[in-house]
Amino acid sequence: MIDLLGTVIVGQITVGDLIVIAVILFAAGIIGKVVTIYIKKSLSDKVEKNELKVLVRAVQYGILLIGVIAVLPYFQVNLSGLLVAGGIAGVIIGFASQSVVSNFVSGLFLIVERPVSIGDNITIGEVSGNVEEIRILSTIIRSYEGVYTRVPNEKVFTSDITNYVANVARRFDYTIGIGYRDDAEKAERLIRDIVTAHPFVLRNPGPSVFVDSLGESSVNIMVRLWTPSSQWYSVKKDLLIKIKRTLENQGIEIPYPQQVVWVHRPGDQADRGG
Amino acid sequence: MSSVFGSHPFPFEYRGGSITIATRMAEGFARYERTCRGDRLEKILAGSGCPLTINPVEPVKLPKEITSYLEVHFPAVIIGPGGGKVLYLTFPIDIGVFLKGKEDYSLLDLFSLVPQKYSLYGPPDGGVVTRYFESDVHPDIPVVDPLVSGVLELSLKNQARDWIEVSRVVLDSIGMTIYYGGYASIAAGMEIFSSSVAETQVTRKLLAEGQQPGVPASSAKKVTVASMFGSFPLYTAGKALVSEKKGYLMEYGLGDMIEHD
Repeated sequence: MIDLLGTVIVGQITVGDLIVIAVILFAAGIIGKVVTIYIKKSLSDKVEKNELKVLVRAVQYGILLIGVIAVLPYFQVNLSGLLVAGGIAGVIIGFASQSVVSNFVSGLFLIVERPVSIGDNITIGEVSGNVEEIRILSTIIRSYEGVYTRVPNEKVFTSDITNYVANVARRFDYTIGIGYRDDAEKAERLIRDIVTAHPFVLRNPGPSVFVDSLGESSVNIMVRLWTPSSQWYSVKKDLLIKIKRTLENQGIEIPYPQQVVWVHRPGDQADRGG
Repeated sequence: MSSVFGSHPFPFEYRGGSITIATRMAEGFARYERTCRGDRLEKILAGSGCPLTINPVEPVKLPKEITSYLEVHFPAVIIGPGGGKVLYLTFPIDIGVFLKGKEDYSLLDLFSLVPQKYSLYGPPDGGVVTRYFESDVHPDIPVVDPLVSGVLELSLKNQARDWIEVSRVVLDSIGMTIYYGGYASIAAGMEIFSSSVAETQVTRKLLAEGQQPGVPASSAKKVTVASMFGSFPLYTAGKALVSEKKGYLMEYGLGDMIEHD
């Protein structure tokens, strides 16, 4: 039996070497398969299908490559030379692909941490819009003007992210200015009736409407509303025009900026008094 | 005047209160026409006229579907440790109009006589948006206008060691079966674990003889139906859901909510 294992087949490769080579490559194949199944299970709902396919192949080929490197000594390939060459090549490739690797790693962290999801309404740095795709290297955002923007994942990961729909509900405010001669309590009541009647102005937490400040040209009424995050913008647009129309119909003025100028003429009583 | 709920062969006409529904042939097409509180809808049904099924559906889809949760707020009821009580509340009626296919239903129209209001149960970062409705508490099945309100039978069971005040119930409408006959009904249970935690579960129970399960709209999926003006999306409501589902865990309180300013 030992003689059979030591039998040379080609060059210095024996039957025993062949068996070891086959076992190593088979094990690499099995490990690659198991790891890829695990990746598919874990990331299938988090990563886009084509991206996942690329990631799975990269991992599978990487594991196979490690297997191939492990069997090279049996073919009398000097790994020390290969390691030196590989090290130099690695440094060069590393410098060249620094940003790619950085984006890749950031992409993996984004997938795990999930600060944004597809369809979310976000601002990343100076880019605002809806998330269209989260890829391994980049995130695709469609701006509100419909413009396609590709943001590298490294930038997404390191930037401040504002996600407008991460919470189920959000608040927004209006400041409505009315004239000093108008009835502020009546205006408050009218505004409260309008916002309360809207289905998507939440019952809890309820809206609050109050005189917030006495401005230079107007009495400022603050309107604070909570809405479902998915509906806030349509509610905001819808209500503002309704408030304007209602106040106008009720004879309540929304004044322009204005200044009262008192003109003193010589001979006026004030002058005489002074 | 017969009930609007049920299956109706083509052609069909119903007039009651501020609702009119009709299917008829006109100008070579089968037409569906509906008015509700002055709001009018007309659709052209490609092909010959087909029967309609009209029934109450889960009241969480108007004016737009943004949640599956229904929250009913009622005057506070205090229940002792280990105690149980059956209350009767009311819930808003949303009316679904379905076209019957070979095996399933397509939702043709959805409307309601009840104004909608939504609310937040829990905090903004962990709670849920709910369709909000205020109801009185009744010891027995109340008399309701079947086009406006349904009857919600709520069985309370207090597992806590303290007296607990309950003034709201949140139900997940996915898988909810609404039965209809003389009036629409839902049966639900609420198992109270503490003053802030309870589990609610919608159960399959008739409140009156002769009631039948309505076609739910929650299993709807998009289909495209040809119309005179191109194609427009409709929703296919699958067969009535049969699987029992897990209840909803109310973990943000059973009484009045804390306001977020």
